Amino acid sequence: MKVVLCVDGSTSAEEAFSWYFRSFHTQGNEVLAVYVGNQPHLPSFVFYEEAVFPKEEFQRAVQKCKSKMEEMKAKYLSKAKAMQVNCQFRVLVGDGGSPGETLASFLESENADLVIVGSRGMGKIRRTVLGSVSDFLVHHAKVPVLVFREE
Amino acid sequence: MKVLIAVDPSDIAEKAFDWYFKNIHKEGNEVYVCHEAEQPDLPTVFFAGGASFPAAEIGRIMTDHNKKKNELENTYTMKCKSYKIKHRIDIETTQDKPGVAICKKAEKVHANMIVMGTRGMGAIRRTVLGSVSDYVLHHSKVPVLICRGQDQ
Repeated sequence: MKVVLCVDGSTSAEEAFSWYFRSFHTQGNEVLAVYVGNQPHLPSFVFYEEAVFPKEEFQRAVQKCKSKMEEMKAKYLSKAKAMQVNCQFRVLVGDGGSPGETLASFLESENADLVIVGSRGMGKIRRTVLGSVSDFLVHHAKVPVLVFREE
Repeated sequence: MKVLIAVDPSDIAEKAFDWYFKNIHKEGNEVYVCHEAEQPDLPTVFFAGGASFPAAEIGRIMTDHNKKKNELENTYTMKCKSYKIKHRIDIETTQDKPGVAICKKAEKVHANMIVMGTRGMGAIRRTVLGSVSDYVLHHSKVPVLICRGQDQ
Protein backbone atom coordinates (compact mmCIF):
# COMPACT_ATOMS: atom_id res chain seq x y z
CA MET A 1 0.00 0.00 0.00
CA LYS A 2 1.29 3.45 -0.85
CA VAL A 3 0.95 5.83 2.08
CA VAL A 4 1.44 9.59 1.84
CA LEU A 5 2.26 11.37 5.08
CA CYS A 6 1.80 15.13 4.92
CA VAL A 7 4.34 16.96 6.97
CA ASP A 8 5.12 20.55 7.76
CA GLY A 9 7.20 22.20 10.46
CA SER A 10 4.74 21.51 13.25
CA THR A 11 5.03 19.08 16.14
CA SER A 12 1.63 17.69 15.16
CA ALA A 13 3.16 16.42 11.91
CA GLU A 14 6.07 14.86 13.80
CA GLU A 15 3.71 13.05 16.14
CA ALA A 16 1.62 11.80 13.23
CA PHE A 17 4.79 10.51 11.60
CA SER A 18 5.90 8.63 14.72
CA TRP A 19 2.41 7.34 15.42
CA TYR A 20 2.08 6.00 11.91
CA PHE A 21 5.29 3.99 12.12
CA ARG A 22 4.57 2.79 15.63
CA SER A 23 0.96 1.69 15.24
CA PHE A 24 0.11 1.40 11.59
CA HIS A 25 3.02 0.58 9.39
CA THR A 26 3.39 -2.86 7.90
CA GLN A 27 6.32 -4.19 5.94
CA GLY A 28 5.56 -3.69 2.32
CA ASN A 29 3.94 -0.29 2.72
CA GLU A 30 5.65 2.36 0.66
CA VAL A 31 5.77 5.58 2.62
CA LEU A 32 6.23 9.05 1.18
CA ALA A 33 6.66 11.94 3.56
CA VAL A 34 5.55 14.99 1.60
CA TYR A 35 6.25 18.61 2.32
CA VAL A 36 4.62 21.41 0.39
CA GLY A 37 7.18 24.18 0.14
CA ASN A 38 5.98 27.75 0.29
CA GLN A 39 6.53 30.00 -2.61
CA PRO A 40 9.23 32.43 -1.63
CA HIS A 41 7.98 35.89 -0.84
CA LEU A 42 9.59 37.78 -3.64
CA PRO A 43 9.74 41.50 -3.08
CA SER A 44 7.82 43.49 -5.63
CA PHE A 45 9.56 46.34 -7.27
CA VAL A 46 8.52 49.41 -9.12
CA PHE A 47 10.12 50.70 -12.27
CA TYR A 48 10.68 54.21 -11.11
CA GLU A 49 13.44 56.43 -12.35
CA GLU A 50 16.52 54.64 -11.17
CA ALA A 51 14.96 51.42 -9.95
CA VAL A 52 17.39 48.63 -9.43
CA PHE A 53 16.37 45.01 -9.76
CA PRO A 54 16.50 43.67 -6.17
CA LYS A 55 18.64 40.76 -7.18
CA GLU A 56 20.11 40.12 -3.75
CA GLU A 57 16.77 40.18 -2.03
CA PHE A 58 15.38 37.70 -4.50
CA GLN A 59 18.30 35.40 -3.96
CA ARG A 60 17.94 35.63 -0.22
CA ALA A 61 14.23 34.82 -0.34
CA VAL A 62 14.78 31.81 -2.58
CA GLN A 63 17.66 30.63 -0.43
CA LYS A 64 15.50 30.84 2.68
CA CYS A 65 12.89 28.56 1.10
CA LYS A 66 15.52 26.14 -0.05
CA SER A 67 17.11 25.87 3.38
CA LYS A 68 13.69 25.30 4.96
CA MET A 69 13.14 22.42 2.55
CA GLU A 70 16.56 20.95 3.32
CA GLU A 71 15.85 21.26 7.02
CA MET A 72 12.55 19.39 6.71
CA LYS A 73 14.13 16.69 4.61
CA ALA A 74 16.97 16.15 7.05
CA LYS A 75 14.62 16.09 10.01
CA TYR A 76 12.31 13.47 8.60
CA LEU A 77 14.92 11.26 7.08
CA SER A 78 16.79 11.15 10.36
CA LYS A 79 13.58 10.35 12.23
CA ALA A 80 12.97 7.48 9.82
CA LYS A 81 16.48 6.24 10.33
CA ALA A 82 16.14 6.40 14.12
CA MET A 83 12.95 4.35 13.91
CA GLN A 84 14.67 1.98 11.49
CA VAL A 85 12.06 2.36 8.81
CA ASN A 86 12.17 3.12 5.15
CA CYS A 87 10.64 6.34 4.00
CA GLN A 88 11.04 8.70 1.05
CA PHE A 89 10.89 12.45 1.36
CA ARG A 90 9.37 14.59 -1.35
CA VAL A 91 9.00 18.31 -1.66
CA LEU A 92 6.12 19.66 -3.68
CA VAL A 93 6.02 23.12 -5.05
CA GLY A 94 2.58 24.55 -5.41
CA ASP A 95 1.73 26.07 -8.77
CA GLY A 96 -0.41 28.82 -7.32
CA GLY A 97 -2.94 26.50 -5.72
CA SER A 98 -3.35 26.01 -2.01
CA PRO A 99 -1.27 23.32 -0.25
CA GLY A 100 -4.42 21.19 -0.10
CA GLU A 101 -4.89 21.36 -3.86
CA THR A 102 -1.24 20.60 -4.52
CA LEU A 103 -1.46 17.56 -2.25
CA ALA A 104 -4.71 16.34 -3.77
CA SER A 105 -3.26 16.31 -7.28
CA PHE A 106 -0.06 14.70 -6.01
CA LEU A 107 -2.14 11.89 -4.48
CA GLU A 108 -3.76 11.27 -7.83
CA SER A 109 -0.59 11.31 -9.86
CA GLU A 110 1.13 8.97 -7.42
CA ASN A 111 -1.85 6.61 -7.10
CA ALA A 112 -1.59 6.78 -3.35
CA ASP A 113 -3.80 4.43 -1.34
CA LEU A 114 -4.00 6.43 1.86
CA VAL A 115 -3.12 9.94 3.00
CA ILE A 116 -2.32 10.87 6.58
CA VAL A 117 -2.60 14.49 7.61
CA GLY A 118 -2.55 16.31 10.95
CA SER A 119 -5.62 18.11 12.16
CA ARG A 120 -3.76 21.40 12.30
CA GLY A 121 -0.32 22.59 11.36
CA MET A 122 1.36 25.91 11.24
CA GLY A 123 -1.70 28.06 10.73
CA LYS A 124 -1.95 31.10 12.91
CA ILE A 125 -5.67 30.82 13.39
CA ARG A 126 -6.10 28.31 16.16
CA ARG A 127 -9.82 28.75 16.58
CA THR A 128 -10.70 26.18 14.00
CA VAL A 129 -10.71 22.56 14.95
CA LEU A 130 -9.65 21.37 11.54
CA GLY A 131 -7.01 23.18 9.54
CA SER A 132 -7.44 24.18 5.91
CA VAL A 133 -5.29 21.41 4.45
CA SER A 134 -6.90 18.54 6.36
CA ASP A 135 -10.32 20.02 5.65
CA PHE A 136 -9.58 20.28 1.93
CA LEU A 137 -8.23 16.73 1.72
CA VAL A 138 -11.14 15.20 3.58
CA HIS A 139 -13.54 16.77 1.13
CA HIS A 140 -11.58 16.43 -2.08
CA ALA A 141 -9.11 13.58 -1.91
CA LYS A 142 -10.19 10.51 -3.84
CA VAL A 143 -8.60 8.15 -1.35
CA PRO A 144 -9.16 7.39 2.34
CA VAL A 145 -7.92 10.17 4.62
CA LEU A 146 -6.65 9.67 8.12
CA VAL A 147 -6.82 12.83 10.17
CA PHE A 148 -4.38 12.53 12.99
CA ARG A 149 -5.12 14.12 16.32
CA GLU A 150 -2.55 14.29 19.01
CA GLU A 151 -3.83 12.77 22.24
CA MET B 1 -4.43 -0.87 19.12
CA LYS B 2 -8.14 -0.54 19.72
CA VAL B 3 -10.07 0.51 16.62
CA LEU B 4 -13.66 1.71 16.73
CA ILE B 5 -15.44 1.16 13.41
CA ALA B 6 -18.66 3.10 13.16
CA VAL B 7 -21.09 1.39 10.81
CA ASP B 8 -24.62 1.63 9.55
CA PRO B 9 -26.60 -0.53 7.12
CA SER B 10 -25.12 1.23 4.07
CA ASP B 11 -22.74 -0.19 1.46
CA ILE B 12 -20.24 2.53 2.21
CA ALA B 13 -19.88 1.33 5.79
CA GLU B 14 -19.28 -2.22 4.60
CA LYS B 15 -16.67 -1.09 2.11
CA ALA B 16 -14.95 0.98 4.79
CA PHE B 17 -14.88 -2.03 7.08
CA ASP B 18 -13.46 -4.27 4.34
CA TRP B 19 -10.89 -1.68 3.35
CA TYR B 20 -9.78 -1.34 6.96
CA PHE B 21 -9.35 -5.06 7.28
CA LYS B 22 -7.54 -5.46 3.98
CA ASN B 23 -5.10 -2.57 4.31
CA ILE B 24 -4.79 -1.36 7.86
CA HIS B 25 -5.62 -4.14 10.26
CA LYS B 26 -2.79 -5.63 12.21
CA GLU B 27 -2.71 -8.86 14.18
CA GLY B 28 -3.44 -7.89 17.75
CA ASN B 29 -5.69 -4.95 16.91
CA GLU B 30 -8.96 -5.13 18.75
CA VAL B 31 -11.91 -4.08 16.64
CA TYR B 32 -14.99 -2.55 18.19
CA VAL B 33 -17.88 -2.28 15.75
CA CYS B 34 -20.55 0.14 16.80
CA HIS B 35 -23.75 1.54 15.46
CA GLU B 36 -25.55 4.33 17.18
CA ALA B 37 -29.14 4.15 15.99
CA GLU B 38 -31.27 7.17 16.59
CA GLN B 39 -34.42 6.66 18.57
CA PRO B 40 -37.09 6.10 15.89
CA ASP B 41 -39.85 8.67 15.57
CA LEU B 42 -42.83 7.30 17.38
CA PRO B 43 -46.23 8.69 16.50
CA THR B 44 -47.41 11.29 18.95
CA VAL B 45 -50.53 10.49 20.78
CA PHE B 46 -53.33 12.96 20.40
CA PHE B 47 -55.91 12.72 23.11
CA ALA B 48 -58.79 14.47 21.37
CA GLY B 49 -62.26 13.05 21.12
CA GLY B 50 -61.96 9.34 21.44
CA ALA B 51 -58.36 8.88 20.32
CA SER B 52 -56.95 5.50 21.08
CA PHE B 53 -53.36 4.73 21.92
CA PRO B 54 -51.71 3.65 18.66
CA ALA B 55 -50.22 0.59 20.28
CA ALA B 56 -50.16 -1.45 17.09
CA GLU B 57 -48.32 1.20 15.15
CA ILE B 58 -45.78 1.79 17.87
CA GLY B 59 -45.29 -1.96 18.19
CA ARG B 60 -44.65 -2.20 14.47
CA ILE B 61 -42.12 0.62 14.46
CA MET B 62 -40.18 -0.80 17.37
CA THR B 63 -40.16 -4.32 15.90
CA ASP B 64 -38.91 -2.97 12.61
CA HIS B 65 -36.23 -0.95 14.35
CA ASN B 66 -35.05 -3.92 16.38
CA LYS B 67 -35.09 -6.14 13.33
CA LYS B 68 -32.75 -3.75 11.51
CA LYS B 69 -30.45 -3.67 14.51
CA ASN B 70 -30.29 -7.44 14.63
CA GLU B 71 -29.58 -7.71 10.92
CA LEU B 72 -26.73 -5.25 11.28
CA GLU B 73 -25.35 -7.12 14.24
CA ASN B 74 -25.46 -10.40 12.35
CA THR B 75 -23.79 -8.96 9.26
CA TYR B 76 -20.87 -7.63 11.21
CA THR B 77 -20.55 -10.56 13.56
CA MET B 78 -20.21 -12.82 10.54
CA LYS B 79 -17.70 -10.52 8.91
CA CYS B 80 -15.54 -10.34 12.03
CA LYS B 81 -15.67 -14.09 12.48
CA SER B 82 -14.74 -14.78 8.88
CA TYR B 83 -11.85 -12.34 9.08
CA LYS B 84 -10.92 -13.88 12.42
CA ILE B 85 -10.63 -10.53 14.15
CA LYS B 86 -10.69 -10.02 17.89
CA HIS B 87 -13.87 -8.04 18.11
CA ARG B 88 -16.85 -6.69 20.00
CA ILE B 89 -20.08 -5.55 18.42
CA ASP B 90 -22.32 -2.95 19.96
CA ILE B 91 -25.48 -1.95 18.16
CA GLU B 92 -27.50 0.35 20.32
CA THR B 93 -30.22 2.95 20.25
CA THR B 94 -29.30 6.32 21.56
CA GLN B 95 -30.98 9.57 22.47
CA ASP B 96 -27.96 11.53 21.30
CA LYS B 97 -27.21 12.39 17.74
CA PRO B 98 -25.14 9.59 16.14
CA GLY B 99 -21.99 11.74 15.86
CA VAL B 100 -22.10 12.62 19.55
CA ALA B 101 -22.78 9.02 20.53
CA ILE B 102 -19.87 7.75 18.45
CA CYS B 103 -17.43 10.18 20.04
CA LYS B 104 -18.69 9.23 23.49
CA LYS B 105 -18.33 5.54 22.65
CA ALA B 106 -14.76 6.02 21.45
CA GLU B 107 -13.88 7.65 24.76
CA LYS B 108 -15.70 5.04 26.78
CA VAL B 109 -13.91 2.08 25.19
CA HIS B 110 -10.58 3.95 24.98
CA ALA B 111 -10.37 3.55 21.24
CA ASN B 112 -7.08 4.62 19.66
CA MET B 113 -8.66 5.38 16.33
CA ILE B 114 -12.07 5.71 14.67
CA VAL B 115 -12.81 4.33 11.21
CA MET B 116 -15.86 5.33 9.26
CA GLY B 117 -17.21 5.90 5.77
CA THR B 118 -17.86 9.25 4.13
CA ARG B 119 -21.61 8.94 4.02
CA GLY B 120 -24.30 6.61 5.17
CA MET B 121 -28.01 6.42 4.85
CA GLY B 122 -28.76 10.09 4.49
CA ALA B 123 -31.14 11.08 1.73
CA ILE B 124 -29.26 14.24 0.81
CA ARG B 125 -26.42 13.24 -1.47
CA ARG B 126 -25.23 16.72 -2.38
CA THR B 127 -22.53 16.85 0.23
CA VAL B 128 -19.22 15.07 -0.05
CA LEU B 129 -19.12 14.23 3.62
CA GLY B 130 -22.16 13.17 5.59
CA SER B 131 -23.21 14.89 8.79
CA VAL B 132 -22.11 12.11 11.11
CA SER B 133 -18.63 11.75 9.59
CA ASP B 134 -18.31 15.50 9.59
CA TYR B 135 -19.23 15.74 13.27
CA VAL B 136 -16.88 12.95 14.34
CA LEU B 137 -14.03 14.41 12.30
CA HIS B 138 -14.33 17.73 14.06
CA HIS B 139 -14.95 16.50 17.57
CA SER B 140 -13.04 13.28 17.99
CA LYS B 141 -10.14 13.27 20.42
CA VAL B 142 -8.38 10.47 18.54
CA PRO B 143 -7.30 10.03 14.90
CA VAL B 144 -10.18 9.48 12.47
CA LEU B 145 -9.88 7.51 9.24
CA ILE B 146 -12.44 8.51 6.65
CA CYS B 147 -12.74 5.73 4.08
CA ARG B 148 -13.78 6.96 0.73
CA GLY B 149 -15.01 4.31 -1.69
CA GLN B 150 -13.05 3.93 -4.93
CA ASP B 151 -16.02 4.85 -7.03
CA GLN B 152 -16.87 8.07 -5.20
